[in-house]
Amino acid sequence: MAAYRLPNRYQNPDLRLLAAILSGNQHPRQIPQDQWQSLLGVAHQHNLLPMLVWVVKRAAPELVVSELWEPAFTSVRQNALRHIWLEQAQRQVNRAFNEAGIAAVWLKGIALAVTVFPQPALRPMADLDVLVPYAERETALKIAESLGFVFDEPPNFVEAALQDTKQDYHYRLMSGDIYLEIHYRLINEGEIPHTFDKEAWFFSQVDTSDENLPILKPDAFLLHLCAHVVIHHGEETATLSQFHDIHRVLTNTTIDWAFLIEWAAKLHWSYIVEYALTITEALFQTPIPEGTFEQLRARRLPDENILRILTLQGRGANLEFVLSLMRAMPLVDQIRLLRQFIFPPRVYMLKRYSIKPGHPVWVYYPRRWLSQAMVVGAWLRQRAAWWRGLRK
Amino acid sequence: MIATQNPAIITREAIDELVLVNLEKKDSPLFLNEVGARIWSLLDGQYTVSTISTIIAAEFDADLPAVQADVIEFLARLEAMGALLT
Repeated sequence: MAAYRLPNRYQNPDLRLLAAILSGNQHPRQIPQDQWQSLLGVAHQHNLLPMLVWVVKRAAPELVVSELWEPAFTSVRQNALRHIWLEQAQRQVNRAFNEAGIAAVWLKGIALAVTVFPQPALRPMADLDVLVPYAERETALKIAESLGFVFDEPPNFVEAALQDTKQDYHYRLMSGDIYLEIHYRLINEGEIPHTFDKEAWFFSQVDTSDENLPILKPDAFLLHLCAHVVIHHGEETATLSQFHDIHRVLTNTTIDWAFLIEWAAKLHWSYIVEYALTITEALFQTPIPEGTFEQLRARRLPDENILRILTLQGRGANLEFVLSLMRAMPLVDQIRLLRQFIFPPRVYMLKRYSIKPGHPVWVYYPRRWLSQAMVVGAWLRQRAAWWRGLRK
Repeated sequence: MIATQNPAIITREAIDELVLVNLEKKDSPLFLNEVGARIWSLLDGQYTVSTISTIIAAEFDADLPAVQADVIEFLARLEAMGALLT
């Protein structure tokens, strides 16, 4: 059985109710009418609006006729259209990679949308993610550029700083409103020094039954989703939709649990998988085979760096991510990045705070400093809590 | 008249609607409701407009002359977006 109490960030009653509705554990007719507005808001915030419409329309169609639901239907239509454009771009890139002999595997949204969701339009997607072999990354980049993709501008200065470090993991390009992320490392694992070539293993786990969309086989797919939600950006940015993705893979594919546990341990991800499955099970009542958590703990290798993962949980995770990035930089670059954090470039401020033309940018700097101070405060509080815990 | 789907049209389900996109006219997607989606499914080159109208009137319990007028109008919209081979 799972060993953890559900963290506070997942204790929000609306969040838990939304998860229960989506997993069929709460009938929509039992929800008070005045609660739908906040539920729809949470669903929107967590990219789950289309799935909520789908589930409620099937269980209680009379509930979705009010004006309250109209934005949700609009969202579904927009997603359907967006999926068409993304799929066209994905096929074009995939075809070009194929012709160049680049083995590519498509990750996350585009793969989830067509495999474990009732309709692709029910899985909102911001961009396309593709993994290519490290040695082929420059060729893949040139191909994408030849297809009209250019580097995303203005650059996020953290991502720009990543380009010069050992944590560099992808190129982010755009064409029109289509974003393409060419990954040449599967997960940004920060400072963890692993000699095992994880990407090579994942490339051995590709399902090529659809030649237009090579994706990971279910076990590898699940491992990647667990690692992505827990450590890639840190849990602070995690949404319910990411755990819902895991729930859908678990309930719509056949998982070889012995194989999954074996590879979770070999990849040094046993804690990551245990934690992600714990949250998913608690939120969605997803069936996890008896003994899975115990086996993950029993198979854990002594050099699996759990502390690194703990630092990426809860509030302050974003700062922890940035600090781990800075530790890998020379001092002069650390100072440059710090300066950029305090005084970000004007182009970044315009995009980050959606500042309208003609509005003064400088008034947004104090707002930024205040929010950054709150992040540092949260990080310090969490660090203090750990130290208190470690000293007991 | 027998109208047939243009195979170049991309479709996507959106809950109970069907989205039609002509890649050459990106700004003109069409969102079909249940009835429109059913008519679209019947445009496989086998059925005349008259037969399609009869099927729709029977399936949706509607008045045949009114359905026939609606089907003709709907096919005109499909043709305008390049969704039909006639």
